[in-house]
Amino acid sequence: MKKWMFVAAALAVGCGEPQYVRDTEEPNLDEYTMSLRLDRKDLDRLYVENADKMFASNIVKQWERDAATGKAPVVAIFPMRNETSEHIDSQLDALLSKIETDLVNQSAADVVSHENQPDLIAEVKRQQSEAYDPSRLAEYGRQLGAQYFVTGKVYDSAERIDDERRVQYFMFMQVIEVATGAIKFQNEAALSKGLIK
Amino acid sequence: MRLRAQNLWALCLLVLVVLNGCATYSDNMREARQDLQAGQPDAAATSINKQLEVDQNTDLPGALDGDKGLLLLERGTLLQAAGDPKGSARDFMIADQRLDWLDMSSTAADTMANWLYSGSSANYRAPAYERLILNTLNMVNFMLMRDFSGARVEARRFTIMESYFLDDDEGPAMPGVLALGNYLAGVSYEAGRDWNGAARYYARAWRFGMRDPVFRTQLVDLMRATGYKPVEDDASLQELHVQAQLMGSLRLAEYRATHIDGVVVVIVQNGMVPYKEAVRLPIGLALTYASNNRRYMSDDDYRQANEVAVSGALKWLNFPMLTWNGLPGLGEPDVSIGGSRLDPIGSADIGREVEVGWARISGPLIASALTRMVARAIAGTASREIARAASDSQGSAAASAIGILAQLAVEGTMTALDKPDTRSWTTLPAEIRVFRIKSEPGRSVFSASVRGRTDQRTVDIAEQNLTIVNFSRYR
Repeated sequence: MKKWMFVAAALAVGCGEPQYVRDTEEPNLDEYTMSLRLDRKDLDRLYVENADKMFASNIVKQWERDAATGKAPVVAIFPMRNETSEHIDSQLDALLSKIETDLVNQSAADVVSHENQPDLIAEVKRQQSEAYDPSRLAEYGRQLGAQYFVTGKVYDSAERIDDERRVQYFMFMQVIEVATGAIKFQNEAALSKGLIK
Repeated sequence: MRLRAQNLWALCLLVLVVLNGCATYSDNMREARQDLQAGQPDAAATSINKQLEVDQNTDLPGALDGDKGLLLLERGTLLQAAGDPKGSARDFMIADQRLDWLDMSSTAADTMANWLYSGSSANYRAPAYERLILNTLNMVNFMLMRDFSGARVEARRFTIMESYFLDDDEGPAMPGVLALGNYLAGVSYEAGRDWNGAARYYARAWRFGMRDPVFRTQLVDLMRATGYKPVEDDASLQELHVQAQLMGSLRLAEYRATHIDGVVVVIVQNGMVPYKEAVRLPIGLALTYASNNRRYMSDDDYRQANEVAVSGALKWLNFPMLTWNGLPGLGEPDVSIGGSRLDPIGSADIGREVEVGWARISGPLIASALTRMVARAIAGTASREIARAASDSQGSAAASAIGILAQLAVEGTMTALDKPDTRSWTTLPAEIRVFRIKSEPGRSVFSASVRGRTDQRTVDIAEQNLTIVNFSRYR
């Protein structure tokens, strides 16, 4: 009987059924491309390229000088606009925390926690296009007590030919001065994903 | 020896009974269609779950091969009708990622024939109208959840597919689908305060035939507020642009107060689209269809098909045709708020466009099916010659049985094996109507009556944005 059970178990394991794994068991798990959407690896790549430029920019150096004189600017983070043809809002929301963490640790600015402003953030997301209207920015800035916003958008150029697809993603990151609506920093990073046969 | 011949007869009959007994997709969907007609989308979804081999509406099949992607589309439609836009959106999004479509422009005839007769074993390929309606209905889901960013993603996906099909010259067959999709895309951009994007989509909805006077006023006002100039070479759109210029600019705040704040967009999905059933198409009629689609059939194949038809060896072609059998006729939906009846500002005759869409591709499909049939009939004739040779040399009952089998290979078994693919998105509505009304913010009760059955929604109307209501339970 025991021998029969062993054979059955061995067969079950050997059938090639899908199984759940974690990254410690399958070190290359995050390396696979599972879909055309942006995954953590893609976002890291886009973000790092943009963030490196931002932290080396003149406006971040200005914040350091302001902080040295006791006038550290208050910076808020706006949701990144999803202007792509893929449902990546949750991935972009995850990116907000990453931007916030890096701003806190790597800049001299005082950062407004976006988690403490859920209603305002939800309002900004609902009225995304209008939120970037300079007059609206001033209004949101007053509500948050912020002098600068860090924000951005992701858009894409998607194409399909027969059963093959390609999505080219572009991520803009911007620092906007609330009082004037002036863009103080802007950078663009790009990557492409495809389904080819 | 006599016994052996009888056994062969029995074997032939058994094979034919088994082959003919295989239920088609349309057969398997009958229960779900009946439940939906009875106004019970939940029960219909349970029926779909059995086919997906899952227990609950929240469960997903392990793989999306064969029918599974299409069944997710069916379940998504039913969940939307049952008032579960989140579950519906999930099913639609998963199906969308995996759904191939029927591309007539670049596909060889033999490949098309393989799709047509491969049954559920091959992945489903959706025709153009289904691909476009998928994104349209998912816009509705996201707007019902007030996720206008998600709705705009669906709008952009719609646009990608629209440009693909327009490039392929399939657009003229489905103006209603294009007008509706662009209109709802305009609504999603309007709700997200992207005025230029809204104007661009509304202009396309107008171009594809949405011409209600109320919509005209709104579009002219939006052109006045944004300065949008239509890029399309369309005389009626240019006329609206001229009218907007003559009337002068409009402040966006005025546009919002008139056309956005407290405005409700009501969508009513009514009836059910025709589904496919396997029919025996007379061979002469099939040849007529094929003669109009010679691009998909070589001269040799066409000549041989004619010879096979004239010889009388084959009298029909098994082929999927659309049918309205057992489906409800279109009702006249009566939509009201607080007892006041609303008039639609637009509608899409999906059922009609399904018919037109299928008519456009059925000719090439018949031509490719005939090509396949001729190749197989020639193989069958060879078998018959072998049987005759066996009979001449043996003169036995066994040889007669072989002859019977060979004959069946041509006239019976081949027909039985050629089970045409009857798959299509069967729970789609035959018609979608759009209503738009400005109302007092706050709670209101909307009702939609279709053939005497009334569905109601209690809706919290947004003070400073659009509110979306969907009725698709009663068909």
